[in-house]
This record gives sequence, C-alpha cells and structure tokens, in this order.
Amino acid sequence: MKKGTITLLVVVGIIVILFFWIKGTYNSLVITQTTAETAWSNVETQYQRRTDLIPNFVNTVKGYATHEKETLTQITEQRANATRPQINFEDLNEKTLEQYQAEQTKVATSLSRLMMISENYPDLKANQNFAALQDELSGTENRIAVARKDFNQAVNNYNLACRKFPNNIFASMFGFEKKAMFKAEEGAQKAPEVKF
Amino acid sequence: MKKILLSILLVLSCNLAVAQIPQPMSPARLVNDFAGIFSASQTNQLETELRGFEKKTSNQIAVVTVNDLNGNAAADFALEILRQWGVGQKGKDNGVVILLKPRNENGAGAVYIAAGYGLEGALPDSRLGRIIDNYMMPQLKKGDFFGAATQGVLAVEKFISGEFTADDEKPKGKASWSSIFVGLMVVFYVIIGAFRKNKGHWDDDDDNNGTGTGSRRGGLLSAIILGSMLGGGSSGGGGFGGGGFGGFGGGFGGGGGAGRSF
Repeated sequence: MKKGTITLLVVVGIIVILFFWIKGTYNSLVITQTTAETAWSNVETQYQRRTDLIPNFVNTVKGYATHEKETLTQITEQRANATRPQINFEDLNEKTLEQYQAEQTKVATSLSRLMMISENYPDLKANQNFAALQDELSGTENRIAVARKDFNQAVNNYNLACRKFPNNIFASMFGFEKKAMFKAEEGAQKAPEVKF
Repeated sequence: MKKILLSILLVLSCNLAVAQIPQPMSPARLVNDFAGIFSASQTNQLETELRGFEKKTSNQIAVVTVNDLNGNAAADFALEILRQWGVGQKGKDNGVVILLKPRNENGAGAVYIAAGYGLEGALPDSRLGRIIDNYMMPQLKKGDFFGAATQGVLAVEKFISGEFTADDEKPKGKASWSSIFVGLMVVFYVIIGAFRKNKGHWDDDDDNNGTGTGSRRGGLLSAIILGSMLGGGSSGGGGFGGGGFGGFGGGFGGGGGAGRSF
C-alpha cells in the first residue's frame, strides 16, 4: 500500500518533470521559428517594395526617354506578367529560395536597365521626381540587405535550436525542419550609390 | 574579473556586428562628435536643441560624426549606430541618426540620415534625400559642418514633430506607477496590521491566547520591512530628473534612410 503510493508519486513526478521539460523545449523552438517567420515576411515585403518601384520609374523615365518607348513597355509588361513569388515559411527550402532569388534577380535586371537608359538623359537626372525615386530605390536596396541579414541570423538561430541535443529529438517529433538561408551577396543586390 | 568579462563580451559583440561602430560617449548625449569637427559651444547648442526636442516629442535625433567609417558603407554604419545604441524609444522606434564624415585621408566625405521604423512614414528615403540636398549639401560643400548639422536637424524636426508626443513619456510614467504601487502596498499593510491588532485584542479579551499578539507583531514587522524594501526599490528606479538626457531608449530600425558623398 505504502510502496504503491511512493511508486505512484515517483511516476507522477517524472511525468510532471518531463512535461515541463518538453514544454520548455517546444516553446523555445516555437519562439525561434516565429522570429524567423517574421524575418522572412519582412524580406518579402522589402523585395515587393522594390518591385513596386518599377512602374513609378517607367512613368518618370517615359517623359524624357521618348526613343526608348519600346524598351520601357517591355519592362512594364515583363513586370506585369512576372509571377509574384510568395513563399510560405513552411515551404522555404534550398530550392524554393533559389527560385525566389532568381525571380528577384530579374527585377534587379529590369531596374538596372532602367538606370542605364536614364544615364543617357541628363535632363532626367535633374528631375526632382527621378531623384526622389533614386533615393527610394537605394533606401529599398538597403532595406533588402538588412532584411536578408536579419533573416539569415534568425534562421541560423532557429536551425541551431533544431539541431542541438536534446532539442533535435523533439524538433523532428514536432515537425520543426531546418530552413534555407540566403547565399552570400550577389553583385546585383548591392545598393546603387547616388552621387552628385 | 568584471573587466575581463566585459572585454570578452565586447569582443563577442564586435564579432557579431556587421559594421564596427564606436561606443556611445559617456555620459550619454545626443551629439557624439568623434571627429571633433564642432567647437564646444557648437556642440552645446546642438545638444540643447536636440534635448529640448526629445523632451517635447520623445523623438531622439543623434548627430554622430566620425573620421573613419572603418571600410563600411555609410548606410550600414548609421544603421548599426541606430540599432546598437538604441536611438529612439523602445516600441516607438522613433530614432534618427545623422551621420557625418568629413572628407579626409580615409576617403570622401559622407552624410547619411537613418530613420527608425517608427519614423519611416514621416521620413521616407526620398524626403531624407531632399533634406540632405537642400539643407545640408550646400554647407557641407563649403566645409561648414555645424551649419549642415543644424539645418539638417531643423528640417528633420519639422517633419517628425507631429509623429509622436511626449505625453506618454516612459520614465515619468514608470516612476509614478511604481510609486502608486508602493503607496497601495503600504496602505494595504497598515490596514492588515490594524485589522490584526484589533483581532489580537479580541482574542486577548476572549481567552487570553498568546498567539494573537505574536501574529500582530509579525504583521507589523513584515509591513515595515516590506515597505522599506519597496521604497528603496522605487527610489533606485526613478533616476531621471532635471533637464538632462536620460540615455538612448532602445529604438530599432530596418535600413531606411538616404545619404550622399561629397
């Protein structure tokens, strides 16, 4: 009778300890995951912000670069038809991230084409609207770089939390998967500097 | 021992950071003239202006000058200052960093204005670009750094003065809440003590039981101890006072801003 009670108490105690231990591990995983998720949505926001600048640029450039009408229309159409890549954090892996980056490189290419065109029109560079857009663009490129850096940091923390022992046991049990990070900065991602 | 730990921490934080930036000057101030391009009276004038503005609006504008960006882009340098120093109030993220680097042996001159998250609406990159072009560049080209800084500060202030107000200023609110709490606790303990005292007397009258007085004393004693402990805590927390600058508030930013080189 007494022995039975002690055993019961020990079992209950172990269960309680286990519960709190698993709860702590799970919650810490959730926190790092949520941070990484937020960082990812910020990355998407900033890239989208850059994409949204293209129509504004085209409209401003149009007024000056009358000879380039064809190129400009082409760029606009490309942007309109381009898939708007939205990746959920759950679906984020090496492959989807690569696709996403490829899509963003296209945006960067369109923008650098626009910049090259505008180089030929000195009047355009003096335009207040254009100067404002250039500031917006370099600020956005800057934000993208920051968002990417923050995202990599958050994912790194998350991956580390998933792989550490004994977290890794629960991580695989509860479906926490390792996430992909951005590769080192490409040339296209560098913020163009505005010089006067 | 403490020093060793601190230096280890410093080395670690430097390794983690992207841009190596200087530590803020101590005691905390809004004008950190590392490059020494302002005279003492100019620094004072700017500092007074910025402190007054913080008091009024809770927005923090830090003017930082350096001689060397340590090989970083001005944008990264300014953002790291904003983030690591925590310019702006926590939660509001209403900090602005105006970074100035004179042209010298370390390269071209640079000016950059970085805005915290909370001010990105009032200070979009294009507007910051215009502020620099119209209010700062003419002076910077003449080498008038103080003129550029003052004009830049005034222009920034004009755009953000309506964004936040100081009515819910943190340190003040915190102090008053904790003092209310302490007051309530003291009242609570006095009432409890009085109640116990009465109860003790009734007990005494009824059957001369000794425990009544004992518990009464315990209640009073703990009330005194607790009261003094709480009182001590509150006086330690309310360090803000006078017309000084209370330090950076822990603001954050995400890379918004604009800059020029000259």
